[in-house]
Amino acid sequence: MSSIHPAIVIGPPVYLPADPAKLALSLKPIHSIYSGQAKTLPPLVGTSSYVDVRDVAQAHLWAYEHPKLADGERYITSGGYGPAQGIADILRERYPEKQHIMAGEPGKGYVEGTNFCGKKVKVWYPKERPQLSGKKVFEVMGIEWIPMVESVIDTAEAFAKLYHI
Amino acid sequence: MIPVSNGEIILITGVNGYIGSVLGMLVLSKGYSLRGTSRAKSSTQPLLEGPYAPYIDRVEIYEVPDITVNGAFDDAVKGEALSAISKVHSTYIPGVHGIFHTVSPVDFSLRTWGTVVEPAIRGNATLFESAAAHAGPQLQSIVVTSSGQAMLSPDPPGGYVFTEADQNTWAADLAKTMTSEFPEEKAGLVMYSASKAAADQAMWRFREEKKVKLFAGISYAWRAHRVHIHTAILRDVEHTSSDRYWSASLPSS
Repeated sequence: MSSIHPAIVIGPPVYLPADPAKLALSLKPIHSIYSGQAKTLPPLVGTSSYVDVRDVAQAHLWAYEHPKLADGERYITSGGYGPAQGIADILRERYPEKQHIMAGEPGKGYVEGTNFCGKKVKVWYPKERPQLSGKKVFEVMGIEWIPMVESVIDTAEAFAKLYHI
Repeated sequence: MIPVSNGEIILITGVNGYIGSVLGMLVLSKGYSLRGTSRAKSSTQPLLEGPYAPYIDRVEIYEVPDITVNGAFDDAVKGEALSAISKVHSTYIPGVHGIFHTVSPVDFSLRTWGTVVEPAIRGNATLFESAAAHAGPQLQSIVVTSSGQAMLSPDPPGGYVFTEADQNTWAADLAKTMTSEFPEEKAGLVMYSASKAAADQAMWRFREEKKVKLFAGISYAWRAHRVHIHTAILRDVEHTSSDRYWSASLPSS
């Protein structure tokens, strides 16, 4: 037996509910910011760490395929810091034509840093913020966390296709 | 083109959920057969007609209306119930080889220990009980989707890094004693956090008590027989339309 402990899960779903109101809770911030419904940014919750759903799935499968190593283990799946301001900044940079995406205070509340896999990323925890570590899964399973930028944009693209935003 | 079947069956509870449905797509793309549960069979239609359509011969859905009742997952873990595959091949097919337990009762409008935390603990216990009693020796592991919440605690020292060694004990204590004066907007999150932490802790207690870890040991004896099963359910039907779903949802590996 093993347990997987995801941070806030984002990333492209394989299918979407016809009504965005029925979206998974963890996807709602990206949806509301991308669609322009959000006028203020959602508050930070817990460590405000994100993880891509594709990495969460890979971690489950790894645990199953390595039963001797995984039995009795807990695994945190966390790609790093994922604050709402970072989501807004990523979306505005990628879709400059979408004026309805709120600005907030660009660049505020996060820093550039080195993620749990040793890679440089644009959005990382400021020094004082608590972290949810994705180091064990990187080291044991070899999962290189999908960066927040990629995760947010892939999610937005999935929304764009179905909801015509 | 879909991959050759590897002869193993994965049970995913809550297969129509966000994580469950992505996980289902991953295991199908790797050659596993999939058994999924959902509260209502109808809610899996968009999946079966959409991304899972190319794999439809390898997917079965079991309706589990209430995951907290005794025996909720008995049928879903069993071998005998594999009618969709066994009606094509008369060879005996075993129960599931692996279980991904992604479903957990989540309702942020509920506010009491009895309506939030107890069902979360029960939802794990019923699965483990069904698996221990009915799955059979081929079951090699159960992987439970918990939450990072099971590690967190409020107001940690600056820059604290939570790891797998951390335990959330605060939320359960608070949830048990919460009164109606507790701020409404925070109560839902505390209950959610408590349910995740308590269900996680109950899972590990269960493993100790029932020695569920034996599953991993027994499974190796079964591997010797796997080749027969593999032959029995091998279906290398070619399909092509799923590639766009894969590339949209799965990292290359």
